[in-house]
Amino acid sequence: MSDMSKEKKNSKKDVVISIRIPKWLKEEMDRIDINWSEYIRDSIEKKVSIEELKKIWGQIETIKGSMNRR
Amino acid sequence: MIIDSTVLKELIFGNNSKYQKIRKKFEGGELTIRIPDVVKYDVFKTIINENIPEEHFTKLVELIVRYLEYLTVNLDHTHITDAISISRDLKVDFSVAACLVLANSLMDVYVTANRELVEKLRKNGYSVLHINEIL
Repeated sequence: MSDMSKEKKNSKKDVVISIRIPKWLKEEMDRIDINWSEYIRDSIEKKVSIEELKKIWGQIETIKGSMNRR
Repeated sequence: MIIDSTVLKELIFGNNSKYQKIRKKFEGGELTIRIPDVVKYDVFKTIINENIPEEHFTKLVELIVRYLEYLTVNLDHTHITDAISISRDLKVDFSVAACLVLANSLMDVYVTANRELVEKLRKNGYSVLHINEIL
């Protein structure tokens, strides 16, 4: 992770996002005693990391490909 | 899973489709891959000895370093102390001992591509898998 990414991650600033879900799902969520904000935050963070990794790997593959073509 | 440099090097530099399947599962969120920080340096040593053309060297190294940063778990002083003891007692490389300690700490499984090491660690009561056992 770059210094800039680390700096961003350590920032205390939060923003509020909202999502629309079916009513039945919200009712199911209410029946389960977990911290949904924390769960969703963790899930988003994991997804962002994975997508960043895929992007980096794509670039690595491109370079490896051009090395093999030499 | 916690992987050592034998698996990591193959993931990054190898062309074996089995290893690439693991990478795809990881990128698909089906499994987690983590390494103790010391394993990262084993990969850097490999990079030094790889025949990478000058025009690609800087960019490729930068990308690999960035990729590894996402997998890396920094060991704390307790982990390091335990790893030193294991390394001394079992006469295994420090990075192997670090993988064992991290796997134990995170309640994860240690995976290596070194068969002799698997046998040695199992004989000493450690839980470890050979890469072929998860493919």
